[in-house]
Amino acid sequence: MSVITQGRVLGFAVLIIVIGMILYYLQRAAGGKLSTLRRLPQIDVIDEIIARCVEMNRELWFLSGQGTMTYATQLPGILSTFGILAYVTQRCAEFGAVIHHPTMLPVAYNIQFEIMREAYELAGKPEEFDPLDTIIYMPAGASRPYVANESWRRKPAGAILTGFWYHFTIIHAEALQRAGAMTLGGTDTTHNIPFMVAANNYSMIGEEMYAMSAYLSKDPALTSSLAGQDVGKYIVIVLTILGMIAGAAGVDVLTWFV
Amino acid sequence: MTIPLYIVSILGVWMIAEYFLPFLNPLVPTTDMIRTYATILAAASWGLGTAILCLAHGRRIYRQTKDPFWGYSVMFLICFLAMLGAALTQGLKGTTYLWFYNYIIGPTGQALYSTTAFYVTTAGYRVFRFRNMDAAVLLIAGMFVMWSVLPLFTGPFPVLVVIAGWINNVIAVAAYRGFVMGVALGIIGLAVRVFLHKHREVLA
Repeated sequence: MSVITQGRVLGFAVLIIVIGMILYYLQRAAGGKLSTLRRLPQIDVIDEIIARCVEMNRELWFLSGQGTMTYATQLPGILSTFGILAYVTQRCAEFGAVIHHPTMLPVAYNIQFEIMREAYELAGKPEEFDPLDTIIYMPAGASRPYVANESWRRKPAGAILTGFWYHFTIIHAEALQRAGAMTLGGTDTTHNIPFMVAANNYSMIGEEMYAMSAYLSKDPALTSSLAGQDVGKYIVIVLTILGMIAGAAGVDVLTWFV
Repeated sequence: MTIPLYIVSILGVWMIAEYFLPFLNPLVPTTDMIRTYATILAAASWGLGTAILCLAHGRRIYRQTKDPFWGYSVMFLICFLAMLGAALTQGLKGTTYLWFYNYIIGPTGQALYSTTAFYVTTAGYRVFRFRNMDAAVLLIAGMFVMWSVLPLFTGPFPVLVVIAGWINNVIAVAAYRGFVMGVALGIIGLAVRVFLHKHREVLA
């Protein structure tokens, strides 16, 4: 009997290397050497959106998608919204923009509530946090008519959409666009990326959202994890190129790893 | 707070090890049992969530003077009790329960879902314009793919089906795989952070 299940050797090797690299970068961060992250252009877009809301004296809407926190595939997208939400809320509080966050995540509601409340406190304006309007819980079904109707009534000047999204991406993004909002949208849901790219003024594709969350939160764990993931990405790129060459040469490389 | 995190770490590593290491196969029945426990726990959380929701709405009705929208809470409790009563008296296959589902919940959901078509149309109108090179690529690729499913175009120009097939099966699949690999690496990173107790938010 083989030590590793047949057909899963390569996957196991890549997994071990990636985990090893993440642990290495975490260890480095603990020693004070934090990995450097490139500043994404979307961060400037966030500031631009907030500035627009302040200039026009209108609200900024933050939508964190749907999804379930118990699914491993949906969790990274949901968690990445937390870092972005903290930054956006604090900036809004500092510059005097009103932020409104209808969340569709029942389990994450309390976390997001606390993130926003703390952000207002950090900005030195805890009295401006309205527990009945700054963040409200909106079930996913009700969110579609809510966003379509309320965005038309309240006319937000800007909106940021992040997290895990289903088909209503297009309803929310397009409704906000019709209301005159400048929008930044990002998701790691494969089938909704085209909607995000098409319907928003600016977009974040998949991993950019994770990177933005790590950059904005300055969390050593997130930053180190991202550096380790990048090593995994280089491995995948090298393996893909080698596989292409070997495949073109007629060598069945896959049989080497089973 | 520490014990649940240790349970998550141990079980997470166990599940990964069981997937890759065949000498752990004798533990498969135990692993299946743990998965069943997870399902039961999730179901219990639904019950707890429903009870808390009812309490929250009950509180809104009780303090009606402070909340202008307390009427919606009354509607919620009426609908909840109607569905619960129908399910308890006749079961989930009972005619009353199915009537509620087929004639109220179903059509409402379908109506909301169908609005997607209108939003897609207006978004498409706005997006498919020759503004710059990126938009031009999207416009041309989108045109080929949309024309390939319309007999009006595929009749006189059958080559459109070949071009759209190549766009869908080569370019789109390549981009999709690259994207999925990036997300998969993100999930691995998250798992490591959770196992090392660096992400306490996962316990909400």
